[in-house]
Amino acid sequence: MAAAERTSDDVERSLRCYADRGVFRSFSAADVRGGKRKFSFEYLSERRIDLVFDPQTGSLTFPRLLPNVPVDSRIYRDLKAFVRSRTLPDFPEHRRIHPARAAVKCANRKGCVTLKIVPVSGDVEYACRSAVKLIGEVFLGFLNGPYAEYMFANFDRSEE
Amino acid sequence: MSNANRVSRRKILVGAAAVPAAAAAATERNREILVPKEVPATLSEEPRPADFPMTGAQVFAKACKAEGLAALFCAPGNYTVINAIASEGIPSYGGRTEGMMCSAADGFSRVTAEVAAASGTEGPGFTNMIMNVAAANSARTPLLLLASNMTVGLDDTEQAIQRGYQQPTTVGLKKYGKRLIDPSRVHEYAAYAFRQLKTGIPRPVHLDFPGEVARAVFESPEDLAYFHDCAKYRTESKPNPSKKGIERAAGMIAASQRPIIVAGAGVFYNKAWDALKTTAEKADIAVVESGPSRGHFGDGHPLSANTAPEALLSADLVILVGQYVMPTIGEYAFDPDARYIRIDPDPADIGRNLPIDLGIVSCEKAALEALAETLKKAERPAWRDELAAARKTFEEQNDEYYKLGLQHSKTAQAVHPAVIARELGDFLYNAKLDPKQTMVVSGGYGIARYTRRFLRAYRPGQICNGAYQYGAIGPDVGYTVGAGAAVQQGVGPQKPYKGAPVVAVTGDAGFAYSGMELETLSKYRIPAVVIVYNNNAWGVWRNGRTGGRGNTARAQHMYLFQENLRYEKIGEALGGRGEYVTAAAEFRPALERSYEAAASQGVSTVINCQAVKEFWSSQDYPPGFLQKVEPGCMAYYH
Repeated sequence: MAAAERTSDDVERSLRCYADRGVFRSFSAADVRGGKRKFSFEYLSERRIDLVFDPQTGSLTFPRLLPNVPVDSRIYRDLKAFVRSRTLPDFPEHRRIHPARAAVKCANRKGCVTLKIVPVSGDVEYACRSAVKLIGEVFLGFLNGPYAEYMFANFDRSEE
Repeated sequence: MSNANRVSRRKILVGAAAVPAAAAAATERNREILVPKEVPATLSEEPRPADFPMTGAQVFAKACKAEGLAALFCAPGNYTVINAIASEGIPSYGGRTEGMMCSAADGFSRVTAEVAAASGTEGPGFTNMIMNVAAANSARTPLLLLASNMTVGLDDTEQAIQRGYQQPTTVGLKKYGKRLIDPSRVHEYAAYAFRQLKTGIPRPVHLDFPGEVARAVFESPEDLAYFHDCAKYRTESKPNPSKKGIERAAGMIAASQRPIIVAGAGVFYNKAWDALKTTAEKADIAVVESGPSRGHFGDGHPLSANTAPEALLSADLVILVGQYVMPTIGEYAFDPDARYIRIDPDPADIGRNLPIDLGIVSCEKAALEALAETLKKAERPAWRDELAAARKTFEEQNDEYYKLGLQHSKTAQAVHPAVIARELGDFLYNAKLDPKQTMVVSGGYGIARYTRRFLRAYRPGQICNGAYQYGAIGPDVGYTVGAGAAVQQGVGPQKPYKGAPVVAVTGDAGFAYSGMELETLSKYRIPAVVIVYNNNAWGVWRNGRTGGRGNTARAQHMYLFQENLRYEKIGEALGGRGEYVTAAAEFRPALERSYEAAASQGVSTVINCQAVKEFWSSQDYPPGFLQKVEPGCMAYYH
């Protein structure tokens, strides 16, 4: 088995653990273009989340994770600051994404936010765990702040 | 207009002695509001417990008394039963609508952990209680729902009025229900009711009384098919945890670096707050509350995570104790790698919604006591520090909201909810009052997203979480009647604060459902301050503009009220006081005057806080409508 396949299997095994525990619902995995593997699941909302693993780079990408976020909006500015804050030394060690082990990138294309986690020292498992935790931080920490209207409009969050 | 001019006040007179003077002073257009002399007179009468020969209603009332039924809230109807219950000496209250009296009973239980009853007449009186019993059912309240129901003998005939089958109407809204048919089994069905109310997971029990049962006469116990002491028909025994389960839980806690207990309604209803504190302190376990009442683990404790939402995602082990209304993944802000232990008396519910790593079937109190025995002493200074830092972050965010609220109030010439929330919190907990003293009914819709952040609970039953789970915003003043009656009587955890004023927070939409119960508060001299957040609209008014998904037409009017409505005048008109607050600086003095009137004269006040609907817009008035984090002080879904 090639190294790329092994890491892909490792990522799948790691993610499937969450599905087996009931944390992710409706989990699926499929090969996609460019030798990448796409995982899809429901987590923290009824909207499906895609996670694309690129075995060549070890990167994990959540494409179009957050829709309708204009690039010049307050929410996007705050989100970038929030994501960065998760990597800083003053953030609790057990939740921090260490820049020496994984890099987090936030991109905005036509108002859709994509998050990407790239292992720095080849530790794909660390990057994978960090990716899942980061989604938790974004939805349960960041978006649970003053973004009620955004969640109502884009994630069918109840207004009641 | 000066503050003095905004304050409306009626002189309230009670009893016979007041009548001649009032009559002399009054003109046809300016009559004093009087509490009829019969109210204090009959309230002070000695109980008159029934003895054989007894009616079915009296047999039932006697069983209620023997079971310690703590209070009855009703509107007239079901006469024989409510009269019999009152005569037995069970504190009884008559209000303006059956629905709100049902909520009053619910509110009473939510702050005392005791069983209370609600009663209404057949037909419309009963159906008026549906929303309220549904809310009680969702909150897992041990509510005894009673209603008369014509006669069995003429079922289906439509003779006279108000005939209907009640039990099918409450399907899905109760733990147990029965239409009583055989008069000789009336005591037996009281036993059925209390067996359900006092064991396992609490929920409403609904009994309906046809005339044949309520009016039947029994000369002696032999006339009843079943007549036993409660020790013969139910047990006080509760499920104890397995030793193996507790040892495994103790092992998981010992291995955890950041354990947290979610203390739910089961902790409150089993009065397990001391066991909870002992357990948490023994092993430095953080505690966060959930459920329809707050205070079973005080917000002031260094291990409290109630006001530390930022720390929740750090917990690596979550121990759910008595969490009857289960969240799904993502509704509680825990880490995806967190492990779960669930302690619950109902094995059929363990494993629902959240994945479990260990399930323990047990009474919550017994499990916490066993854990406290088994756990090894542990200290987790880093976890305590993180909790403290998270609480500080939360308070700093609240400070930010308050500053914004002051600015917005000035800009809009109205009162921003952050100002109400902060000033209320400061008055209750940081000024002259004992912070533990005041019980608060925390209701409303958008206003609650702010006030919950600032309200604190330092002792069991200090906050009644209004909209909990069912999301009914209307019953807030109904809850206030019941929770206020509990404080007035000093029942259970309210005992040290007997007679203290209570505070309620509601919105203008919610107030419409229950505002008439100001009359009940005034009649019974239950001292309350009811804060009405008046933003001229339903809280969801933005849907009328956007349709939720885009532009819409001809819809906005359906979401709006007339502007600047004077809800405080309802308080005045119903025998209490009124305060109209239109600027941020006016709120605190109005609150102080109202609290003083409640404390010294037993007079309730409606404080009408004039806001604008646009405060819910994050673009116009950031942060606008707030999200929330559960569990903890902001929670009300679970």
